Amino acid sequence: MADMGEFRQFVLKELGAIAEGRCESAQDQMVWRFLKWEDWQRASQAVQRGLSAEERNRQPAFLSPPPGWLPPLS
Amino acid sequence: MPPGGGFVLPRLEGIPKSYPALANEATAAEVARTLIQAGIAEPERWAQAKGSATEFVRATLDDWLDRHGRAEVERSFYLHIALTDRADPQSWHDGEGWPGPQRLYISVDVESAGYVVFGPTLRLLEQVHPRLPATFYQGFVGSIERWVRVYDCRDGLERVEQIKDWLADELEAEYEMPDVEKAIPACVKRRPLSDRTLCRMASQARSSKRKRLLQGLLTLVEKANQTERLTADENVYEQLQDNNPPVPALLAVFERSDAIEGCFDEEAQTMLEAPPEPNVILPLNGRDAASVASAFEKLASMTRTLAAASALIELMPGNERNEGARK
Repeated sequence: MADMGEFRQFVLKELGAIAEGRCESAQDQMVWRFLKWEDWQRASQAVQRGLSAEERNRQPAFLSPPPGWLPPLS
Repeated sequence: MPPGGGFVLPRLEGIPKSYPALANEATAAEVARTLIQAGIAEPERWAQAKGSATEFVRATLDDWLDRHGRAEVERSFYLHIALTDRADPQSWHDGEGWPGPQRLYISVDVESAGYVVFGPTLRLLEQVHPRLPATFYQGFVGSIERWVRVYDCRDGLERVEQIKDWLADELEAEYEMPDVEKAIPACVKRRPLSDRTLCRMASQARSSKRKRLLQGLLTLVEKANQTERLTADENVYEQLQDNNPPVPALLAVFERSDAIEGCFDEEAQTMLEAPPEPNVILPLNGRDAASVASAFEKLASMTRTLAAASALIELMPGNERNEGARK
């Protein structure tokens, strides 16, 4: 019973931390990871550039694969 | 100059990525704490919520409904119940000007209307006493209407009057009006029996079928009268002034495909032209365990009433194959 009481207190404490903005929730963490990880940002920029090029030229834009990735087979 | 055939990207700036029932995680976390303190949420659920307070609140409401007769209610009613920070579930706000978790609501919306046929039951009860059908019908509809909207002969009559008004300047003869008045059995228009007489008849009924029907009605009336419904304040109704009336949770007809059902089918085509009001709005303070417990007690009263109604519908002749019937 003591364990259950302790667990309840633990959960209340964690929720309190989220409520007061002292702890990131799972959803906030995703945005935080995007802001922190350059790979995500570069991938987004590559997609955005490809789409912009297609809009300008009306020609298909071929993107180079990121370093270490396999090139397209055809 | 005509637009070219290029690929146009929509601008997504300022568009919310999701429309959660509660404005943000911080609010959900506050509400989640209060739900635990009120004894409604189980802390063990937190591990399954994977760090999301929004998910924790949603799962808590789900679990609570499972423990409070959801399976029975869903045999005849198709509801969507949410714990939300806005009275109008179709609206969205970004938190600006919002008073915070102290003003939340439990809202009950209808996904589609359930369906009940009264005719065969009324004919069976009329054999016992000429005023028993009216007692049964009014007791049944009145009990459910304490919580959710029922579409019945009164709505049908109103709809016909409305259509007649609209057609006032045109040749009425060209339109076939549903004859709602004719669809209403004479026995329903009689004066209902007193509660005491109904109780006596329920205990003395000779046929087990009639006995179960009357006892089912008494249970329904008792459940419906157990709790006073909380009423939302004026501020809530101000938010809902542009909404349509609530979508009916139940369509009550006397015979399948009668004139009342015809009116409902016709009216249903425009029921969602503007967002409808929720059927139930229970206000609560998300920071106050007593307020949260009280709102959930009201919700429990509603689920008990609708579970009793579902059980009674299944006993009513003509509704045996009714499981899953919806409009």
